[in-house]
Amino acid sequence: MHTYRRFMLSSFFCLAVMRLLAQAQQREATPTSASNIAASKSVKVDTVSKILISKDNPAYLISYSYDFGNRPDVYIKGIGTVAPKGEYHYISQKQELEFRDPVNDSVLARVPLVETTVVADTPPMNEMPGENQFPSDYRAFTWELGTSLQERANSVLGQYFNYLPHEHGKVTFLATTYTPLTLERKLSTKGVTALIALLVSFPFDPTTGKYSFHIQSLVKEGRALTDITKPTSDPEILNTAKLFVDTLVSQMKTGER
Amino acid sequence: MNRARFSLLSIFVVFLSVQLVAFSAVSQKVWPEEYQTLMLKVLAIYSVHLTVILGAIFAQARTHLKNPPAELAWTAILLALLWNLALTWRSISFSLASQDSVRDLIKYLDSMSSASSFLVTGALAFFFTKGSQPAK
Repeated sequence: MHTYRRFMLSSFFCLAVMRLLAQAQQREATPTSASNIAASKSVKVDTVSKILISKDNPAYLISYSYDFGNRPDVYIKGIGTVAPKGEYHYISQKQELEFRDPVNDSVLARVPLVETTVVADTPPMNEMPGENQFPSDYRAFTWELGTSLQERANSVLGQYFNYLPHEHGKVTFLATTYTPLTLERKLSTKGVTALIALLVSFPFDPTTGKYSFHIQSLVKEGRALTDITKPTSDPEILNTAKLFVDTLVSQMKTGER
Repeated sequence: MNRARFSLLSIFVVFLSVQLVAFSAVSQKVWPEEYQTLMLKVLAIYSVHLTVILGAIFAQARTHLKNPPAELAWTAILLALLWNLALTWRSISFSLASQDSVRDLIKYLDSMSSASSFLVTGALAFFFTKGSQPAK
């Protein structure tokens, strides 16, 4: 009788422990954290598709919109401090989007990046040069507008490139993919083609209400009937690239597309 | 040299020349080293068959060869045309394209020439070696 009671007690104890463990596991798996609840209301991820930015180097091409109501601004990890409402389309190597309050650094939302389009074959290539491939010389421009450079850069760069934003220290870098340059007729009739990729970095030398941003460009020359491109020193191609950057900066400053 | 053999030789030489001219016409639209690679690739592909043809012609230069049956001659000519067209259409389309890739073209020439060589190997062997017995 005594043995039977002991057996029953130990069985109940084991069952109780197992139930507690199951409940704890269930709590862990359910996304009920405050940041995820906020994310579902404030951030809408439209597309996440896998791409390659170089051989064996995958990334996501993402587009999303967000709205954090009446806050003066928000901080998006990798992008910087931007308006509380907006939409972005760029390349990311992160597994999630992170929104923070720029004043107290508290997390406003964390959104995991889950593929919306699954590519059955090898993901498409959006070749992007490494930062060490860019020539070290740069062109500096001044940004003295009230609007955020990130937002303007997103809309203007998006017309020509896909870009990968990231931060290093207090500097934001926007590294772009290649886009074709429209060359003069005498070059294009000869079958000469050219590509340009940019590395935009900011802010530098901040003073009240303005700072400068740097643009490094990598220009490559190709031929119409080949997929091999080579760095160029052709003055006409380099001049076309310079004019392209001028147009881009002017569009960023005026907001015209 | 009889007419069938002369026709086969002409087909190979004409189609080879057409491809060399097509590549030369667009030599500015590829890098110089790629142009050289293309020319060498086509020459290498044709060298196999032209070696058989020219070798037999020069080896039997002074002998009077008997004419093969007409149906065999026509079959050989059609097969030779087919093999040459399979290679040349891609080279011509490459030279007329506004955008293409040398790498893709070389891949095509390599695979097509080896995969379809059965079309001409037998005919060339017959017409330029075994079947080319001197007329009695």
